[in-house]
Amino acid sequence: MSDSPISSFIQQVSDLAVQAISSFIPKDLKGGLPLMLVTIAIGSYIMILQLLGPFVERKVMARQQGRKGPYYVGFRGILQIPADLGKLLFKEDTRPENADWFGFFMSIYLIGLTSIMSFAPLPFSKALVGGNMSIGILYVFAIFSIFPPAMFIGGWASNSKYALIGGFRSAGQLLAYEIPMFLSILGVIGVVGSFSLIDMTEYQILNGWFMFKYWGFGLLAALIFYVAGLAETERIPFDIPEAEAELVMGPRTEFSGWRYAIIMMVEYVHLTVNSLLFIYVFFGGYDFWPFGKSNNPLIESWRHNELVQVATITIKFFLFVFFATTVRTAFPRMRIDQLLSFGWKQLLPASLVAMLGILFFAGVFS
Amino acid sequence: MVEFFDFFFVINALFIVFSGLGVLFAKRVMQSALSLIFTLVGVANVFLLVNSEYLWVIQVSVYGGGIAVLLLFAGRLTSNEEDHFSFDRSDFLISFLFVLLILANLFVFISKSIPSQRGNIYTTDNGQLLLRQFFTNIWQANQGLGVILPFIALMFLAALLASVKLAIKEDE
Amino acid sequence: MELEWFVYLSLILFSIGILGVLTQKTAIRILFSVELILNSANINFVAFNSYLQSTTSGTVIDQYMGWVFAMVVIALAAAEAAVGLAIFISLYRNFREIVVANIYELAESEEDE
Repeated sequence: MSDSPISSFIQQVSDLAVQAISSFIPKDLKGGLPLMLVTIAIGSYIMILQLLGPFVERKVMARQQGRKGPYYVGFRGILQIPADLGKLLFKEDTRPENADWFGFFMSIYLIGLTSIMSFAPLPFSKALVGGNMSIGILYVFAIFSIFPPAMFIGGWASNSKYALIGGFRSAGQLLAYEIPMFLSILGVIGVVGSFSLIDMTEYQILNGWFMFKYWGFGLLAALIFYVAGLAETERIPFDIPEAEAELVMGPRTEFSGWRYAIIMMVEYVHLTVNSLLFIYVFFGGYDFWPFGKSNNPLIESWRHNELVQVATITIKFFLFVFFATTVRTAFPRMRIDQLLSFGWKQLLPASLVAMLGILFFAGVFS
Repeated sequence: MVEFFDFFFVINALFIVFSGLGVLFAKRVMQSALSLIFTLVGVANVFLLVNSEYLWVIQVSVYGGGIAVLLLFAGRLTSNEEDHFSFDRSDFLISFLFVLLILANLFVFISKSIPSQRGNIYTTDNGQLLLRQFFTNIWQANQGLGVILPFIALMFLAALLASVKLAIKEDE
Repeated sequence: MELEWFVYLSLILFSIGILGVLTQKTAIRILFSVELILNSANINFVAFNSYLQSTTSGTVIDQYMGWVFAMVVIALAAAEAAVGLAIFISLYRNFREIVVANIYELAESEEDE
C-alpha cells in the first residue's frame, strides 16, 4: 500500500462503505442467501443503469441536433423515462383479432426473461459478481441466441404483414452478426485461456488492455465486435427490422401497453449488456489504467480498490452510451441486402483474420 | 430426504415430456416450434444437472438459437393456413399401439439390465477441461478428441453446399 | 439422481419422437420429431458418461467421450436442419405443399413443364 494521503483517504472511504453494506447482511446466513443478495444488488444496479441509458441518449442526441431534449419531469428531465414507463403500464393492453395467443404471449415472456438472465456473469468489481461460472461469456452468448427465434415468433404470431417481414429481417440479421461477434473474441479467449470475465479483466490489469495490443489486430477485433454488437442491438445504422419508413415498427408493431414497455426495456438491456461485454473483453473491464502493470504505487492501489472499480465501470458504460448515440445521430440506415452481405462477406473473414493475428502475436502458435 | 437436484430433475423431466407432447399435438406449426424450443432448453438443463456446462452452452446456442431459427423459417415458408394438426383415427391408434409396444419392450429391457449396475450419477467439474483437451490436441498429433473436428467441418461443408444447390432457384 | 432416471426420461422422449414420426403429416413436423429423438440420444450419452466417470478411472479422453459424442450429434442436427430447410423449400416450390403422403412423383410436377 502507498502512504499518499489521497490513497489512504480513498482506502478509508472504501472500508467504511464495505462495513456499512455488510452490516445490513446478517452474519449467519446459510446456503445461497448471500449470493442471492449480491445477485439482487447487481441486478438492480444494472436495471438502474439501463433506465439512465435512454435518458443520456436522448439528452446527447438532442444536443447534437441543436435541441434541448427532455426537460420538465424531475431535475432537467431525469425522471422522463420512468414517467414514460408508468404511462405505458396504464395503457390498454390490446391483442390483434387473429393473433396466435400462445406465440403472442410466449415471445414477450421469452424476450424479457432472457434479457434479464444475461446479467448473471457480469462482474462490477472483483468480488461483486452474481456467478463466476466456468463458461462466463459463452453464457451471455447462449442466452442471447434465444432472442432471434423469440422475436421471429412474436412477428409471426401477431398476424400482420409488417410484423412478419420485420421478424424475417430481424432473425436473418441477428444470425448473420452473431458469428463474427463470437469469432472476434475467440482470439482473446485463446490468449487468456478462460471464458470467465473476471479472468479476462485480471489478465488485462496485468498486461494492458486488449484493444491497444497485438499491433492493431486487437483494435481490428474490437471494431468488429463493436459493429456486430450495434447490429445485435438493432440500433440505427442497422435498424432494418424496424425501419419505420418501410415497416411501421417491425416485429414490435402489434404490441402495446406493458408488452411494448418490456420490448423497449429489452432494447436498452441489450445496449447495456453489449457495451459491458465490449468493456470487459477489449476495454479493460473495471480497470482504468490501459498500459498494464504500473510502477506508481498510487495507481496500483487504486485499481485494486473495489469502489474505484465500480465507479470506473459505471463511467465507462456511460461513455459507451455516448458513443452509441453519436453513431445513431451520424450514420444513415443501411439496406437489408447491403447489411447481410456486409455481415457475411466482410465482417466474417475480417474476424477470422483478427483472431489469427491475435493468436500469432500472442505467441500461441510458437 | 429429497435433495434439491432430485426435485429439479423431476420438474425438468415433466417440463420436457409435456413440451415434447406439445410438439406433436400443437395446432399450428408455430406453437409446435415454440414447444420444440422449450423441449430443447429442458434437455439443456439435463446437461446442466450432470455439470456439463459447456454442453449446455452448445445445446442452447446451436439448438435454441440456430436450428430453431432454421426450422421456424422452414415452417413459415412452407406452411399453408389450413396446415393444422388433426387426428386420423385409425392411423393414430395403430401407431400409438406400436409406440406403446416399443416403450414396453425397452422399459422391460432397461429395468432388467440397469439394476445390476445401479449407481448414483456423480459429476466432476467443468467443461473447460474438455475444451482444453479438445484444443490442445489440435496442435499436437492428430489423436484424441481433436481428431473428430475435421469430420465435423467436412460434414458442415457438405451440408452447406448441398443446401445452397437445392435452394437456389435456377433461371431457365 | 440415479442413472435409471435419465434413461427412463430419454426412453419417454424417444417414444414421443417415434410417435411423431409415425403420425405427423407434414415433413417439417416430422423433422421436429426427429430432433426429439436425437435429443433423447444425447441425454443417454451424457448420463452414461457421468456414470462411467464416477465408477471408472480412465484417461481424460475416456472420461469425456460421451460429451464429445453429444457434441457430434448436435453438429449433425445442425447440418441436417440446414439441408432439411433447403429440401422443404424446393419441395414446396414444386408441389405447393409438403404433406409427405401426397408427394410420390419422382419427376417435377406437371405445371412446370
